Amino acid sequence: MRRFAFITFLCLLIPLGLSAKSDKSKAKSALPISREAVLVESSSPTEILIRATGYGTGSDNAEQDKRANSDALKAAVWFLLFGGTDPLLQTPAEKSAFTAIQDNFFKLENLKPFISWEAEYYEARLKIDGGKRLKIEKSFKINKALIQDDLIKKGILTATMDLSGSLGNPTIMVLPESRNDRSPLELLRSDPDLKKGAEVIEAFLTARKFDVIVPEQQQVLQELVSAQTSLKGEEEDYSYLLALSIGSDVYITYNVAIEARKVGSATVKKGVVGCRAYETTTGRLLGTETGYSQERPVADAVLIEEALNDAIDKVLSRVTAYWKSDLQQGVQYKILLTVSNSYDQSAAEDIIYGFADQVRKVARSTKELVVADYTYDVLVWCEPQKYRNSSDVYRFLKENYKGTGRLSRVSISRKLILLNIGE
Amino acid sequence: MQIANNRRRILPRDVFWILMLAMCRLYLPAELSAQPGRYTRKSVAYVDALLVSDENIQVPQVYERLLLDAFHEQLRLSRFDYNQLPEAVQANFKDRLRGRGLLGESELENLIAQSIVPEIMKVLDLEKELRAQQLVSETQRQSFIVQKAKDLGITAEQIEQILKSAFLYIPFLDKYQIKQEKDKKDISVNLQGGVIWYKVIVGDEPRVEKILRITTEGTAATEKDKMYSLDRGNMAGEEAAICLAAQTMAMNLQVRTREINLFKLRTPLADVERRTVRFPLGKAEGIKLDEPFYVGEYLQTNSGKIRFNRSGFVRVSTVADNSQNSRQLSSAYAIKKGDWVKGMTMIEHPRLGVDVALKPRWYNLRVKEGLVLTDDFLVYFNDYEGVAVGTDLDLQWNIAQLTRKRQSFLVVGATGALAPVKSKVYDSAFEVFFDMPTENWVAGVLNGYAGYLRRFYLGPLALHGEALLGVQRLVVSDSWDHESVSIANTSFGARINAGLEYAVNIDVNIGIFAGVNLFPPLDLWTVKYKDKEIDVDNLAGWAAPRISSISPTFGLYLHYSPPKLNFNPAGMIQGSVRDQLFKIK
Repeated sequence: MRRFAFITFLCLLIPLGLSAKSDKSKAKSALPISREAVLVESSSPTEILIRATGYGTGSDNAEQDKRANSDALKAAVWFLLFGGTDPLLQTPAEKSAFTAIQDNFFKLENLKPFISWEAEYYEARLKIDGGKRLKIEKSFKINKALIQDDLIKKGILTATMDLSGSLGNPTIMVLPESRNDRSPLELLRSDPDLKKGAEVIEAFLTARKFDVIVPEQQQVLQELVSAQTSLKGEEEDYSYLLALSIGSDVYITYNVAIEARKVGSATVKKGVVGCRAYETTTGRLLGTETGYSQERPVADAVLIEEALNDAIDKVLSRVTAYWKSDLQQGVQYKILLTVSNSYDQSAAEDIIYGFADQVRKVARSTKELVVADYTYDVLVWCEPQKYRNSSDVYRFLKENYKGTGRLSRVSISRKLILLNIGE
Repeated sequence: MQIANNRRRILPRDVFWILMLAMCRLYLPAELSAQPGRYTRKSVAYVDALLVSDENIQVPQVYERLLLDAFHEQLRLSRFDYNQLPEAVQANFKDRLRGRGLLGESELENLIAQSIVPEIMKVLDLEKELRAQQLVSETQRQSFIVQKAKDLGITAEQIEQILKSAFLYIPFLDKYQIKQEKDKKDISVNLQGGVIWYKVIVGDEPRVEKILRITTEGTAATEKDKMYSLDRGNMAGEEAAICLAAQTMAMNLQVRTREINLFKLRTPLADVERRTVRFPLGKAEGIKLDEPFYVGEYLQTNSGKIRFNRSGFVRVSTVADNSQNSRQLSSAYAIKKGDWVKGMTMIEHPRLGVDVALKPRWYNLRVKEGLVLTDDFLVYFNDYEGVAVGTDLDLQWNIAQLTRKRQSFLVVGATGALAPVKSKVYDSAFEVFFDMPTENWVAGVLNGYAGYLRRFYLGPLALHGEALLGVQRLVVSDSWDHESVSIANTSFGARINAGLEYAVNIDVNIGIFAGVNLFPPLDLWTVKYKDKEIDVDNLAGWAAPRISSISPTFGLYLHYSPPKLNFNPAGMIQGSVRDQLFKIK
């Protein structure tokens, strides 16, 4: 009888012990319970305003409140890391690297430094599950740049500078979308809204440590080079001027529209902007976003800034994502080879094949775009450690091409290599 | 004096309902229709016209003005932004109203929509951006737009909210009764009416929708031929009664309006420190010292409904001036405290600021035997030294705003008590000769008093102290020529009480008290016969009875904060005090 009682006692204890253990393991996890958060606004190039939901349980209100608060904060940071269309952690490698540090990362004391501001009052506060759980909604302003820096330090993310080092100093140029026959530069000069738009985007880019090329200055530089060469009586180096005109790795185009309506007697306006990022040399679209401002009775410039803040942050995330994926594949170059038409078709074809063999040697992977009678257009991805810039690629090709004719460069800019094979 | 008569007439019925309500409140469930979030200011316009629901009601223009002024004055709450409608618009509306005669409510809505609403929209349009600034939330203040554009942080949504939060009220009268009994000077007025609240709907076709019809009642009685000095100047009896009744209605309407969910002040707790809470409301919303607020939280029930779950209540202890800086916090102290944390919600519990207290009490009465001899009566009082049992009925009028000390009250009250004092009343030589008096086995003791009360809360317990000055009357009765006669001894004195209370709920305190009665023996006598009361001299000289009450007193205490009263204590007190001070006859 005593034995039976002992066994029964043990049977009762085992489930209790198991549940205690599982509770303990749950309590150990610092990850947020809630994954509900929305991006309110990119307040500045480094800060993001997020409204997050937090859940809290506990024996009393103070405990529930404390837990719900920290859960909301964690949910806000979680949103930056994983949520939305442009999270900080984008590649599977980054996500898996983060898994190793996530428990430590999500500890409250570690998250506090990233919070620039948190709301004094809840947006909503509701007891659910018959009062057992507290649900709150709260706004946080989080310094995304600090999180990014922290993750770079921990080796989870690759720094922009590191990317630059590998990919060759990436530069971005911001241009308005041109309508009709007017050039973007002319539009920038004549339309203050577009000028304001360019300034906002450039502010973001410089804050995120991208190299920015200002198109007006680029044009001035081109004119200066032309003037100097003509003063010396030398012929203009058109290939250099062409390279200058290409100028950047990525260019961002944008358009701006202001919609107005009447609310009572007030005219309220809404800024709508479209933002696109392209790879300059290939014309590849890297990202498109549309941004909206709130409807307000204010000057257009304010609305443009608000709407662009909404859009540009996401576009830049895409650009960064593109760089990262390129880094994994290698550095991308576009090689355009023209074969002199002094060769007959058959000879030109052999030349192209011979050249293509060398291209495959220099590149980790290739993608042929055009193979015509006298033209060969190909995208190549080379190892950044081996080929730090486009002239390294050219040098390899020049040294190793042993086929008919002589390989020479027409122009080499950042990622565009224009080559010619002639007699 | 006339107003005091009025009080005697009204109080018993009121007190009954008040006590019934007070007891019922103990068991009322928590409010189910509360609105989550914070109170946002409302734009309010009004029509300066009095609608009557019955064509037999004919209100003279002077009285109509009195009614309207009383309503507008009481409904001018700090939590509202008022939109003054142009005179021309109001005149146009009144003309159209008169032209159409009595209107149904839907017809009235149409008429308002056609003539008043467009004007409200214009007025709102002028000030909407200014008002919209106040709607910029804490989060929005932190957003880009305020950083970069400072004061331009308003959105179309907020402008629309301003336009949509426009309300309109129209006063109405259901009952207008002036009574004067034959051969009597007293005139009594009974008014019933209120306001209809409308919400302005913004859209392609702006219109109004009725949200609530609030009805209340006001009564007053005055002497027709007497002049009264009131707020609005000196008035004859009838006009004074109308004015007092109108003020009563308006006072009740204010509480009823504050009770409307849309208009009720609500805010999250900014801080909880022991029994003190801080919250972002203040002078801008018109909160006052000692005003009660429920504290609780919103709870989602199993059926998905959201209800406000009360977990205690507080009274305002400091009022912040947040008209310039909205971040200034007021504070309140917890009377009944639950498990409170920052972020929980405070909801206003609108009350008049006048408490009704009922205090059954015991005290000692001493009568040393003696004679009262007047031209018509001979009264013999036996020796008595023993208990008098009675009940105080007090009105405690919160004057914390004046004294700047929380829980300070002006007390006005009366005691009715009985004591087994034996007396013999002789009203003729025959009765004296044959020794056949009217024998009384019991004497009534009436007290009237006014004074100051201060209460100190220690959680749900409270200590109070009060000092009162008053008059005491011991009354014996006789019947003469088939009419009742009362002969009374008057004494002037004071009372000092100290009590211990317990807050049963936000409206009711119960407790005990003890004090001292200080009413010395005075040889002052009055005789009341057929509504006439005259002072008489006691010709008995040294043989006069000595009636006094210099003794401890103790009793039970119950107070209730009513949401309405059918009479206006402020008007009554004001009227009587001025009457006594300036002797306006």
